[in-house]
Amino acid sequence: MGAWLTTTSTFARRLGWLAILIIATYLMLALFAPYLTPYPPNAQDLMSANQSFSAQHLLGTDHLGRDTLSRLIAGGQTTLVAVAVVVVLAMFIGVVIGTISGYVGGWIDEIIMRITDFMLSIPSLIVALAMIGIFGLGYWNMVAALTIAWIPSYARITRGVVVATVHQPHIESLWVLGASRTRLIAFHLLPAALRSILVYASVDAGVLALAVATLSFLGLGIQPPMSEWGEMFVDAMPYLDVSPRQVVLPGLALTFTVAGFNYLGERLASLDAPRAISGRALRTRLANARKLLVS
Amino acid sequence: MSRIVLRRFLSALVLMVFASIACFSIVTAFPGNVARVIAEMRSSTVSDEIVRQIEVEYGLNDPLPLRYLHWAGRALSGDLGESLRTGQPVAEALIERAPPTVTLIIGGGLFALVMGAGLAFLGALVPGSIFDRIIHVLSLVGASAPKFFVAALLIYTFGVAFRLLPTYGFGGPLSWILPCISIGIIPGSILSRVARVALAEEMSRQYVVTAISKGLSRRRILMHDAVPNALPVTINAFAMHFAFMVQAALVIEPIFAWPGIAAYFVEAVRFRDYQVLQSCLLVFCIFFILVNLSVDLISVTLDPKQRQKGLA
Repeated sequence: MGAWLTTTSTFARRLGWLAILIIATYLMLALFAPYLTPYPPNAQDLMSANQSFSAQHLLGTDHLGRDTLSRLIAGGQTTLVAVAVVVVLAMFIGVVIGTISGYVGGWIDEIIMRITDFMLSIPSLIVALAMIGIFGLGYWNMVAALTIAWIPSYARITRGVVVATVHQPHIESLWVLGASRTRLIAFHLLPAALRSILVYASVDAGVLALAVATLSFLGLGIQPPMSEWGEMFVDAMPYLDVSPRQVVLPGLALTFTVAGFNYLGERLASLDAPRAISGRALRTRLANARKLLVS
Repeated sequence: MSRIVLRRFLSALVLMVFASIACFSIVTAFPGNVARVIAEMRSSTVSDEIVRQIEVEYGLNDPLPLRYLHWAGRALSGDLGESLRTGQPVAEALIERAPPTVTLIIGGGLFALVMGAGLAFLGALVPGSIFDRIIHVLSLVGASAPKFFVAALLIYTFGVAFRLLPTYGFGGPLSWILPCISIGIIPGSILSRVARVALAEEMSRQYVVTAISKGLSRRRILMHDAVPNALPVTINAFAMHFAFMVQAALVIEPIFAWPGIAAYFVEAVRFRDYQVLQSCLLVFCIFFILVNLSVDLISVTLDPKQRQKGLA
């Protein structure tokens, strides 16, 4: 009973491939955005505003006559760049903090973990908003705010893996053999931590894309005229009754991208466990990942 | 029992103190001279003298611990300072803006609970039925769809296409429907899956086989045995989503033009009104801590295992 509830079912596997397809398409579109956009994404043409789908404008135009397809592609690129920068920064800083915390231990560990616990108990988006309130508006301020809000989860995961690995026999025997601290951390502890972190990051990318869009939706993230899906969405909301497609298209793009990252992450999480893992353990792991995913 | 309750209350109190320190430190993290920012908001011409005057007025030259105690003392007596932008007392504004936010979060919570628990129960009653499929599809979409997109689809369907429900402003109960559904539908769909998995796990246990072989009906087993056992997991999941509704309210309140606390917070972020910012954060933190506390207390009363631990 309930085969669909597990992630090892055929359906889940197919979903994983679909996710890879979506993400691959998204990455291609975003990477080659400047060559793929049929029109300059910010070029206005008020004579042809709010048009429906046509041969000239495949996905229609918005209220300023800007080509929607071009803006969607350019928006995907904006999101990708922001997400990539935040993930890399948060991962790097989080891994450093988590390794220090897990390896050194003692009161340093205690203080770092209390702070991360506190930050994780508040929804990350609210932390990011508070940071934007401190830094002010702007692209790089948004990136900084999101990075700060996202560091604790990476620190936590790294610390967990480091603490679990550092007392394992193979690490202790290396220590006895005279391996230096740097060598232990760089060649044995970090690779162990990176596995879990990369899996986490792939789910996290979707959550971050959603966070970037939400901030832009609130007018606190990407500033116009730069195109971004959340910004396109909020821009088109007043014209919901005239041209609902301008609202639906960025919404769909966002939903598909986030779903793609989510299922890619789930799939990776189940591949990450080559040992026969019980359905229950897998579900707890996914539930933990999803805890951070609710935004 | 009373000892464990007392201990939970005390730890919640300690957490609140930590939260207040964190919220207070936002002012100190404010880059640049806070006094200058205040002066710039008050008038266009800023002289050093005015800045110094404001420093004295706000006690910005006092040592930090003293400033914290000062601020916390006033906050406890209900004085959260004034908005830098409008000059309105923040506490007054928060009380004014509480009804929409409370309505939204409680309404959304109820919707999520009824939807999640209802779907899960119906799905468990007839495994593999249409309800199971609904849960499946919703949980696939639910984790990925942006809240504002869901809200826009609802606005378009019920407000623009069929003109059935109001989509703008905080008025009578009719205007509550769409916002509450928009905020509750995603947690509801995730909750339905959590509850469904918990029920499926219970129904595959051996005591259920025994009960079936004794001739009890599936519905009876569900109602009397599986549901009570699946309750703690479900309530924990619900509480987490309930607390996270504050985050969703950040989006839902502006989209429906509800003048709530979340919208106030977003405004404060936009205009860097740190007095409002830190007060809203404090309110949010207290809400999270209280939700966690009540979950702890509820699961202690529901879960015999935890109750025993508390007694020992």
